[in-house]
Amino acid sequence: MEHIGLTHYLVVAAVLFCCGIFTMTTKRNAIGILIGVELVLNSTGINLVAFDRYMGPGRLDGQVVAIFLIVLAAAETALAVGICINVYKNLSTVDVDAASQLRG
Amino acid sequence: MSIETLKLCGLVILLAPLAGAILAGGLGPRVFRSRSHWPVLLGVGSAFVAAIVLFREVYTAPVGETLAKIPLYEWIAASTNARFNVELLIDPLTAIMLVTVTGISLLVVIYSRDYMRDHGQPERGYERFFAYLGLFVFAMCTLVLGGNFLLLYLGWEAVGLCSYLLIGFYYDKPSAAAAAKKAFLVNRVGDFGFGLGILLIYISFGTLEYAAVFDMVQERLLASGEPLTDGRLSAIALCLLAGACGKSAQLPLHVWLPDAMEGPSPVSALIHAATMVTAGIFMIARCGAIFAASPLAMTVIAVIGATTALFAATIALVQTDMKRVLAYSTISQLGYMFLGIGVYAADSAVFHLFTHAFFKALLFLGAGSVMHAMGGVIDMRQFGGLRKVIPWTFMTFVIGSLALSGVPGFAGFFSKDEIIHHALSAHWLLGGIGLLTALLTAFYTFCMVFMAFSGPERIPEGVHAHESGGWMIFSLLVLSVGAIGAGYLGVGGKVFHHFLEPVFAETFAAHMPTHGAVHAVAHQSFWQAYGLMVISGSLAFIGIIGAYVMYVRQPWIPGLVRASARGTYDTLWNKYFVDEAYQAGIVEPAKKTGELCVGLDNYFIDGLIWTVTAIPRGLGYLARTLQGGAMQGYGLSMVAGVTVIVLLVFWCQ
Amino acid sequence: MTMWLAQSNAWAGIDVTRHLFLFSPMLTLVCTMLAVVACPIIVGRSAKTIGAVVVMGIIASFILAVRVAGEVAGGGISGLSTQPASGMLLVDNLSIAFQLILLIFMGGVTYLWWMGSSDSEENAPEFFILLLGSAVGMGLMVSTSNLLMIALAIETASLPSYAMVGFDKRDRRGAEASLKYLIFGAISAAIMLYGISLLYGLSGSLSVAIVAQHCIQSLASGHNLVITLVALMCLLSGIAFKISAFPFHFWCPDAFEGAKIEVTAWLSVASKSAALILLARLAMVFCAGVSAPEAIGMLSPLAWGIGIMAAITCTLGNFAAYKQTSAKRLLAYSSIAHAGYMLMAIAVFVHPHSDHGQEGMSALLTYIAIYMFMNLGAFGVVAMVVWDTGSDNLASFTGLLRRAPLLAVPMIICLMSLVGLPPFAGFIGKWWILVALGRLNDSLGWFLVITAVVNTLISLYYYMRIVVQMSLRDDGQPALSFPLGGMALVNICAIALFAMFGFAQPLKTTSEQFTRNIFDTTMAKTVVVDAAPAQPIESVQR
Repeated sequence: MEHIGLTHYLVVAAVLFCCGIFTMTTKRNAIGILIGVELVLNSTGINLVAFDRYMGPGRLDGQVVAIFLIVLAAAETALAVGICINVYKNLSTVDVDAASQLRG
Repeated sequence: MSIETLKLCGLVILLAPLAGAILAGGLGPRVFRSRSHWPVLLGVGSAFVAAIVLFREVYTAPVGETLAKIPLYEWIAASTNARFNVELLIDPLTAIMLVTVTGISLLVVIYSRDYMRDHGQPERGYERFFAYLGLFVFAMCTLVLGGNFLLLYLGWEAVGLCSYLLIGFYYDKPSAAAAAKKAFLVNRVGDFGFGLGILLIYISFGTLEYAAVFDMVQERLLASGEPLTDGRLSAIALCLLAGACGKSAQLPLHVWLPDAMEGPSPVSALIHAATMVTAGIFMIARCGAIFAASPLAMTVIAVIGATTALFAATIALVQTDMKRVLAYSTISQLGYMFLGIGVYAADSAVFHLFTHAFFKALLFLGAGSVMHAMGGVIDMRQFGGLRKVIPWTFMTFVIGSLALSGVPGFAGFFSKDEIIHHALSAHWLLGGIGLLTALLTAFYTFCMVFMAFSGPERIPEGVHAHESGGWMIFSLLVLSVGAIGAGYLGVGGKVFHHFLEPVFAETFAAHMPTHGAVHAVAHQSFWQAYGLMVISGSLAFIGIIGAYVMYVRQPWIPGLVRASARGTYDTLWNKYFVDEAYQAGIVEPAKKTGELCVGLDNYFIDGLIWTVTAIPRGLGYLARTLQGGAMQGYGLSMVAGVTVIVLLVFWCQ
Repeated sequence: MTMWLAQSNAWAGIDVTRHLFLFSPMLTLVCTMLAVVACPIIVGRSAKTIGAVVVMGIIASFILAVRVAGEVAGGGISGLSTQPASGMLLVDNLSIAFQLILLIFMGGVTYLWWMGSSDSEENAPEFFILLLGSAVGMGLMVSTSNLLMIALAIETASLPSYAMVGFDKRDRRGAEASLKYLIFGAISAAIMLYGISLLYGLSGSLSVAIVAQHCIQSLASGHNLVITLVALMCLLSGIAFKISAFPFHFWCPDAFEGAKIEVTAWLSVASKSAALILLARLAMVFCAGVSAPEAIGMLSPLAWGIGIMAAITCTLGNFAAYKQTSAKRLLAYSSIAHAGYMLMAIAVFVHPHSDHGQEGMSALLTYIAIYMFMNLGAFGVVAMVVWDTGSDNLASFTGLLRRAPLLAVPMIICLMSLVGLPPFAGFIGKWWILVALGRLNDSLGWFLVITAVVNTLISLYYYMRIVVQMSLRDDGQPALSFPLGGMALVNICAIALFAMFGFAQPLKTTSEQFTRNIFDTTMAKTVVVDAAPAQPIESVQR
């Protein structure tokens, strides 16, 4: 049985990243797109923690960044939900295609 | 001379009026309101004080140290050898000009305080007026103080702009708007030549700094090391001269000045008589090294000057609008100054500039005072016998007229006489024209005086005639003192000329064809030296007496003359049809060409432009199509964009 | 307290008081933010009160920034000297210079908002909290070269901006604009963070200098080449989004058009220039990391990348502005175009043959300072027209020269300056960038010079459309009523543009002073790598 190494984590993260990008580009719903963003952020978190774990002892930078990342994601989500509610109030939908009045 | 003092003075002279203008313009409408004259008055006042201090510094400086270059800062260093500085040049010429400009401006600002009011209430645009005045003083002082052609050009254009703004001050009056436009366009013709001249200077000498350029002219060297040819030098001089003709209203670019009288009278006094129109004279005097070295240019200047002097004086004979008479007389007097420079007597020309500033400002302000009393009417046929109605104005106006006519003892006499003297020694024709013009000047000036002030009292209907306010009378009185006294600076010990000597010693004086003529003057016999004075003095008196006879004693004569010499009269009344000639020769063809161009434009050029702009329009359309509004599209475009950039980078490598 | 901190172990060797002083401008803004939070409870919510508090905060911060600038210039402090950005934050001439510009601009925007807000304005505290928050973020963006801090600063600047764009909750267009801005922002932030995680993995450090060295090594050796390139592009895309450089500009016109005019003005200058300075700093550190001759060649694609991005950005901005009818949208495209010009300056010092790094950087800084006045003036006039006529359509500008000459004249000056015509400062700004590009004297330099000149010609057309609309057309609309203070503000901007043209060389010299130390240390390629893990606040070398 093979030992689970750094590469495995990175591949998982990369897959997660691709899923996130895929979600962002295919979803029409603003909340859906934001979930895609969360996926990308989580893949980043996996990356950081994995690097810290495998690149030698005593490293903390990645972990610190990962924690900040979680805070960032939370803040962003809070704001995003607020904006989505505002959009819903004005447009009665959170479909991003409906928001195409500003153009040209 | 202490450089520090000079620097401080120069900065005050430049910045105080500017600050005043900004304050009056910015805070005027809501804060200062009817007190908007104060910031400008204080600004120009401090500039005047600084100019006096500066003058004293220069005046007390030992011989040979009267020139100071004061670098302020480096404006731009485009490359190692193309550096442009903001620097001041202070010498006796600058000092005299500064005192004249700031002094007259100060009086005009004082005068305007009452003039720009209607029954004690400030006119509409009161603060705007004072802001422009302050801006003008700043621009004119930049022109005078600037130490290189760049600043000269800056000031040149800026005074043109202020002049435009002030002529069109009553912009809702169509004639004022048209006059402003005319002044702007005619000046553009001259300024084009001026700009070209400066460009030529830069190309030839690789620098725009006065001293460096003049040194190279003296050494007859170009920046490339080749010798400077006469042709090139004359080309530069003639280009600059075109600018001077435009600004100083000389033939054939004089047409804008009479129309410029549409501006308020104080503006006519300040800008279109005393200061800005002398910028051309100042520029030629400043660039003496260039002009004096080119005999061709000097001849052209003398001929233009003499022609203009006579030409404008004849037109002035028949005008009935007081301000127009004065405008033509200004053109005529500027012609004298050109003539003076053209015969290498630049110091006399500057002297005339100096005395002229006093009496012409006085006359214009007097005319403004008459206009103020007559409720805005300025046509002399509509009023008369005003000497009792507005006694102060009458008195000062007569003093100004005496000075303008060249009556012995008044300022104009001394300076004009000098110019005629030099013109005579250069060529009898030039001198003869000068004398003839002097006669005409005295005649038309006093025609004006007699028409307006003598005879039975006639006042236009419904006008409550009244003497002007104290602020106006004060200015008139101070200027009268100048109109009487300024001339004495140039007689006897010739203080004025000695002061100016270092400026022109190596330029005009050195290049004078009859070198030593200046010294010869001192050794002339009594009749040679004073005969001319007697002649020109008597001419003035003859002119005045002629006017007296025609307009007071025998008032039927003018009518008879008008009737018997119909053709001449009409020609003069219509100003030699110059405006009409321009209309027919330039404006109409230009319009026709314009119409033709419109036709061409519609069918050919438009098609061409449509074709050419199809590319940007197409790209613009494409760019805006990309911006379709929907976010999915943006996402795709983003990916495409990244790909494009990556591909381009690899392709470029 | 300070004594205690200094004595404790974790803080050994760190002069806390001094560091607090160095960051005092931004700390003051944070305090102002707290004061604004407290204000509604203590003195009330009125726009005038809150505005006064904010203005006082800005002035205090400005004074402190000036003092710090003196300290930094005199003491030769440079955050990039011997231990390149081992800390999270740094203070140097560049960051202080930008903070000064930012504070002046913020004062202008605050003033504009203050005048534009009605007496019944209820949301002043919220608006200013957001404004101050984004200002702090932008201030931090320029004072770091640590990847984590970069991410945090960008987010700190972005999150309040999203909310500001959609600040008016009843405005449909504002809602749409904020949604677009948010989604683009979130996506690019996420991608950038992913890139940062990869870079961390590649180099084991968050310090840009060390990351740069590893990147250069892998670029030169071909080891991990693809992953390095991907990571760098991810990082770049995050910053390019803030700059709104092609192809990450799509949010910009939409967000700017939908936002309130004051917010548009704020974002068009502050957020773009902060990101530009950040990119410039990264580029600078990156180049400093290159020492081996064979690696220098690796910079060429980078320079070309930024150069092509700049060229496309400004061309696209100018073309798209061609037929716009909304003044706000037109100015949004114009701001994209100007971001392009400024990116060109960055291409100068990424360039491998460039010995003129400082020239590019000082040209960039000069341009930002000038750009601030041009945009503040132009947006100020547009704002006042919008307040009076309720529309930012170009038709509202018809006959403005007669209806409000005191607004039309500064507007014309600002537009001329945006084109880059003398005698206004915009000319000087463009001139220095072109000079810096011309001195490169190679294909990239001349390519960019030609692009910039052609673009200037193109831009003449659409700026002149507004001028023509204001001066030559007139349909007899009544005179415009506008606040006196706003008139003063735009006129001051116009005068500043004149003055900056008149003092071109002193301006240049000043901006050179503000960029000198940075290049003294980094361009000399004397960076010593220090792999020690980062400490929280350690930042500045004495």
